[in-house]
Amino acid sequence: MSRNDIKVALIGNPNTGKTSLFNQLTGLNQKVGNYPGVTVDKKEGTSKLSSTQNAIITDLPGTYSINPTSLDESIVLKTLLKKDIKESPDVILVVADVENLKRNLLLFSQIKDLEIPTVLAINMVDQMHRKGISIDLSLLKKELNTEVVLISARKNEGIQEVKEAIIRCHVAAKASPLCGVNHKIDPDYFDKLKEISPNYSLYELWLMVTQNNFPETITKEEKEKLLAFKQDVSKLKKYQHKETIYRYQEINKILKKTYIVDKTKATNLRGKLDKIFTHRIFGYVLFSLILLVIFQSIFDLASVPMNFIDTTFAQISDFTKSNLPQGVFTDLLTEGIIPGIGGVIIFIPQIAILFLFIAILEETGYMSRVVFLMDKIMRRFGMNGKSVIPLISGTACAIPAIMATRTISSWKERLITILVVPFTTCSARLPVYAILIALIIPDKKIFGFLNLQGLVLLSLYALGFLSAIIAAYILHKTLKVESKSFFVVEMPNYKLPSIKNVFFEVVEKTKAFVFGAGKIILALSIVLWFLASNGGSSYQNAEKSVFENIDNQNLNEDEIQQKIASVKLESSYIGILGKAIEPAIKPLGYDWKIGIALITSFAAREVFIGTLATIYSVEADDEDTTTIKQKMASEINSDTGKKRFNFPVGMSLMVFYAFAMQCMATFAIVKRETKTWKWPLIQLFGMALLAYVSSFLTYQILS
Amino acid sequence: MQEVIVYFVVALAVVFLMKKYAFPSKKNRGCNTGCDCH
Amino acid sequence: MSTIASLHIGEIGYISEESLESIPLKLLEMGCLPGAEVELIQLAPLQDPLYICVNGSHLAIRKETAAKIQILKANN
Repeated sequence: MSRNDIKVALIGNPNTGKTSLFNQLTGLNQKVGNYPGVTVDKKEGTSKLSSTQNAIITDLPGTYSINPTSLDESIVLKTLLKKDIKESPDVILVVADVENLKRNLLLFSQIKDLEIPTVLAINMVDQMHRKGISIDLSLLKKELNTEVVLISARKNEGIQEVKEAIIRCHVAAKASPLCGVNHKIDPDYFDKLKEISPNYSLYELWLMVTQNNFPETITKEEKEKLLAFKQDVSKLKKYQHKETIYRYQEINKILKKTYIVDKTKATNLRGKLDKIFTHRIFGYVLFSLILLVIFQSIFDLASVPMNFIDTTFAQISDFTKSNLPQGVFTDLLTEGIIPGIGGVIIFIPQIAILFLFIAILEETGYMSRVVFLMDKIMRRFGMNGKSVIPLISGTACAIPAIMATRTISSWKERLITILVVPFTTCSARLPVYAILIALIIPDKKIFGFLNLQGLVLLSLYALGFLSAIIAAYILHKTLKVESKSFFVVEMPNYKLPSIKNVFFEVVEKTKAFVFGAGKIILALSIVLWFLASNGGSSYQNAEKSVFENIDNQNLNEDEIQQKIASVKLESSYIGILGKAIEPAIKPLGYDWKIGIALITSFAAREVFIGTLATIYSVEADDEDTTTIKQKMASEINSDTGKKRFNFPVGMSLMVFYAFAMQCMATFAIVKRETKTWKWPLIQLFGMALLAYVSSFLTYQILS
Repeated sequence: MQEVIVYFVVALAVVFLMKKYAFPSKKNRGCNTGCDCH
Repeated sequence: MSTIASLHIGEIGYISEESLESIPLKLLEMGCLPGAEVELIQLAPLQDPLYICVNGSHLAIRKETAAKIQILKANN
């Protein structure tokens, strides 16, 4: 970032194509960072405005007004009130949608009153004709006293003009308020307010008072004087109402002269589609069908790339092992790091596909209709219509799902959603379910066509979803958290999804998973590898003790190695841990070997499989589940003389995994989003308790 | 030599995990819990 | 005293002046102003939420919010 790059803040209502414009301006030069102190993602990119001038564009969250009602929206206020002087923008680019221009101009008028150089881009003008809209551009520019550009971000039209306008605006460095509205409400009051400081515009001072948000540069005296204005709360509220009305009056005056709609020309695609999508019965049917299609596709489409990734990483591991000198570090690489990374990468197909569907549904505008259909139901359980998206996302991975709760304005509704999302069956649980089902559920059909194994899997998914709902209900009734619930959702026009936008969205969400969860999983894999490959004296003597005992068994070289590996595992630190918890997990039907697997799957649930492979003396690179299955099937419970992995144990394990919150990555995210240890800890212990009790009951009842 | 690298990597991993979990994050004021700014 | 919540699907009303205090600021900002035209487009099952078109904006709001906003029905 060079000093003469123009800092541009991109602001606008949601659904105005702001993201499209951002993508057009910055292309691939964008990155997602963090706002200090807040969990909202900061999207930034560089744009080449001209051959000599670059700009740094920050895409701020969409908002209808500078007055925030959610965490997302509060970022806009903070950025504009120069909370952080380094971050404050040189030019503001406001995006408006040509069809809802009136409402969009409210935000615009507020921005103008901040007296920062501003450019207005009216987007989606390719739709103007279809909607019978015509605009007198030059008059509009004059009335608004601003650079105005008509664009179609999607069609890449007008982008060059926007860039030029930004440069002109920056050079001119002029900015005057649009409405001067506040003066009309109560001249005395606002004159006194303005006197407090010459360094800020009147509107800025007014915002400081109403929003209790102060820039870095404010002095203590000034702040005190401003706080004095907060005394009369009802006055504040009344004046904000009046302000909004006056703004709209001004906007209406301007639009009357410059903006004409010929209703006869307008097509009403939205109305027609909405009749179907929000229909009281058919709307829900359609939604369920769409969900079905999504989940089916995830299973079908994801398996090919997943197998590919699996074999590739196994090959990498082998290659490394045979080409690097023998030694501990090589072992760390081939048994800890590479499988650790592979374990993260293998979930990318499932996650990417799910987010692809969600992004497409959001881009078309359909998601808002889903929120509309589901709100009442969600409220019964203490959540919000908007909670549907995190709940669905949770079936891929809880991490981006929890991040998606940021648009829920009520803290209680948001908290409950965050707390119950981990109950939904995420991708990582699937390999565990798959192998256990294959082991204990017979592969047959019931009623002639329903696959029993598939049915059990489906029930596990249902179990996850049901427990999320029930947990939400309980939390709803018991949580004493202060919060007001507020619900206003815009129903945007239906439109075809833009491939570019969808692509960027999927990349962003997948990155969130890979880097959010990935680092933790990798670190844990390394630590666990270490604990599994080191131990006390019995560990060191493993080889010796095996050789001493094999005389009476005719084992070949391979089998000897496997036996050594098995003994080593038993006497390693992890083995010791496993043995230590055995008494606690015996009532659930588990032994210390399963105990080890439970512990290692704290890194990531799917590590369960790999650990089992080691435990049951399967060759390290032979993770073909048929072999593991055979070994598990033949494992004998020393106490009963019967099969270790029988039906009760298998069911008990599946129930355990359904409820246990083992994903340390999710734990970290919950902590970050709730900004406290309290909630993730409650979640961890609550779910652990539930898992323990349920698997206990399952085992005891079934055996 | 290999052992040294291994211990170093493991130590890194442990430190990383500790940083993530064991240290209290910077207490941030501002519009966080109960953000019902109306 | 009619409110938005009492509209039938397809019915139109106009937000009354008296309502000003009870309209939440956010709705006001989205165009729900005294004098503005409101049409009920669709109702979710159990009459909640309501899908309305107010002043050109298509929005969904909860019943409890809709019940606070008084209107004059078009045929008055």
